[in-house]
Amino acid sequence: MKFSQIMRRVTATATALSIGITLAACSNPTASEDTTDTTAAGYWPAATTKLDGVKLTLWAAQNSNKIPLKVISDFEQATGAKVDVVTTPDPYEQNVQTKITTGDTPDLAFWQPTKSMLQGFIAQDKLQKLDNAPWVSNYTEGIADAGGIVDGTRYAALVSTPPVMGVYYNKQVFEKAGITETPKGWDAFVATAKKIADAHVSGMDSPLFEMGGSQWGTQYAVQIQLAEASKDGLWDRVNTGKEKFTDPTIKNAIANYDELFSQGLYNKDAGSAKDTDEAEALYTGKTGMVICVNSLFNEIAALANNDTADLDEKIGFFPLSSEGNIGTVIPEQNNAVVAFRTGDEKREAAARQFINFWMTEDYANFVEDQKIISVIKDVDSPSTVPQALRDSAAAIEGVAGSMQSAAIANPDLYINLSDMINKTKTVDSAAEATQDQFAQIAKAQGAEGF
Amino acid sequence: MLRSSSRVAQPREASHSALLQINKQNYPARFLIPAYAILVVFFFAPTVLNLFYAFTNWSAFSKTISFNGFNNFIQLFRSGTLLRDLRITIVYAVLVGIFQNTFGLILAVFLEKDTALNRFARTMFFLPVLMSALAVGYIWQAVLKTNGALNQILSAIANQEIAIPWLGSTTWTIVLVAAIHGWKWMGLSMLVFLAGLKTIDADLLEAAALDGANRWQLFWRVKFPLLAPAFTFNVATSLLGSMNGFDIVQATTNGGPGGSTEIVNLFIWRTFGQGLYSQSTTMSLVLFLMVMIIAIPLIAYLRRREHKIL
Repeated sequence: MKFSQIMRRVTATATALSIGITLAACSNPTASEDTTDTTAAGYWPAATTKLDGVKLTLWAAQNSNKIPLKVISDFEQATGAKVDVVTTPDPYEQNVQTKITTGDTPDLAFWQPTKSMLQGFIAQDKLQKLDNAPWVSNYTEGIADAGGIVDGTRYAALVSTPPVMGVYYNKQVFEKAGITETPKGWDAFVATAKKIADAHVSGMDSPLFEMGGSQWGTQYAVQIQLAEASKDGLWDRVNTGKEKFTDPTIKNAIANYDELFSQGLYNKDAGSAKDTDEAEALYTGKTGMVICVNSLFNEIAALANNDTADLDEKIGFFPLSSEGNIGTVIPEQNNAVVAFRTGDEKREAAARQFINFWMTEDYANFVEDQKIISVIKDVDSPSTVPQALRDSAAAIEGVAGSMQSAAIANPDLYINLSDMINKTKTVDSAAEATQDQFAQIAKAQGAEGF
Repeated sequence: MLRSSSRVAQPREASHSALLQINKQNYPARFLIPAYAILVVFFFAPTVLNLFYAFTNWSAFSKTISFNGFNNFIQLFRSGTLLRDLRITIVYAVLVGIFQNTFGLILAVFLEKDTALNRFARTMFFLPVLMSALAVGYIWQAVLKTNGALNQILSAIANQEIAIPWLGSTTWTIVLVAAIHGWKWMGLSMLVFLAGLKTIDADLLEAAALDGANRWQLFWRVKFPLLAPAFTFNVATSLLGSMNGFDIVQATTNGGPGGSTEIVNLFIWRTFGQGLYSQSTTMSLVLFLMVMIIAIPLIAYLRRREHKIL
């Protein structure tokens, strides 16, 4: 056979192959069916059932790969199973989604237990159902409803208290500015920021701080203003196309946020500053208040070498909403675990057993090891948990759902707001860009009204 | 090796020797097929599939994939973000092309002589090429951030607090990021220009010197035109490489501030992460077309220029 002939054959085969792939692709290659009965006897194996020879893989992000280590070693000892933690680099959500779309599936993974983030996996029947889980009735007030449920089915197990959006403030700056009471409602918050600015506290650069460079923190100032509206069904209306980001409720919240920049209440480098800068600024008193979530507090705690006394002396937290002090809950990736349908029944059952072990048998050890607030009624939180985190956890009762929890899609609102801070978008175009993307994803999901 | 063994084998076994004969005749094919196979699987097939998926509604949210015509294209061009990002990508690619080749050419000219010091310097300047692009991005990000090393050095020199947000300008940050990209790859351009300089006939330079050309004229009138093939290669690779860039920008700015450095690949990846697979496929098709539209005439022009000079 001549080379040219070989090449002709190779080309023909390749073309046939690619056409074959093309045709085969007409049903989404990663999808499958689910008809599981979660009430069946044995669906939830006892926590310490022997599992010798079973090997599980748990995907975690850079900020969550240390969380389960203690539980894993206890589980391995109790059952004889082996659990491997595989760290997927940041941005975790994108990378995990890419890996799963291309056919890689773990047994377990840390995953944001929100409607918008679970939706994709659920549509492809990728996740195991976690209904009738033995520990759910023991959740502390508000936790069972704080995340993990989509259309009445539980898909994720919350292992720790989900973050509440609110205001972290520097107690020493407040004291020096003569502020004795934390503000109630947005207007009072703005007044407090102005009061801090006027007090010219030494060492303080700006009363408020934003991390436009890291982008993710920008959404909270807008979202907390929507707490009352959220309780009033805002996201249900957005989900069905009856209300838009460009309508007054959300757009006014964006405009109110933008107004704070016009008034010069934020740091000068708000457009490019990073989250690490924000943590440092609040800890050292370069700023008075930041609107954020627990993960920022964790960065501050790291700066303080996790010294609870030092943190309690410097950093406080209060929930904030338009009219008062309602918190807005946003469960995150490191708060929850999902179990995947791998097709291997033994491993699937082992994955459920692992979560069960974590949340029942070993939960007290876990809370002690991680020094976090317990979400299980009869397990006490360690005394070393800083006050700000206790206050944040206390706000869980009566919280409003965030966009991530209650909306069917999670558009890049934070990027658009960061663009607005950098003046490449206006209030209007930031709202428009967010709505466009929301509609695009809602349409892809086949949501009515799009 | 192959030839001698076939010669020895011939008298012995007829079928064996016939096989060797075929092997001998087709010997380039055996080397080419593995390469072609890889090309087919990782380039040809994805490109064909890319063309196909761009016209479907493939997403993370549905179990079926169906044809939806030009919907993705209409939606993308209507929203404006893709056009903005295409514009940013072209600006970025042109800037990288300028920086990378200017840096590379200057280095090649300065380090042309084969002294020990020059050899050491060449190695040093080549090191960034071998570094991970993400590492390069993160390092420069740390240097350029508002309380980063550069501002601290400037503050120490000026003896007052300097806090320039280098990565915070929606106009100039893209220039800095392109310069970082150029810095990372300048070692490669330097090597190619050095190789070009080495091929220039010393007689030619001597003749020019005898005719009274000064160093400036010698470089711009003789050496630079003769570098045409190296120039073609460097311009084409730097321009096309940066149009497909991702890592350095992701690590330094995330596409910010205000989306001013969001090159198309960042947008594609962001859209893919949202589960909108067909939309991101459509964008990569558009990017592919844009690269082709720019690359083919550019390379054709540069080749013609070579022929005119040489």
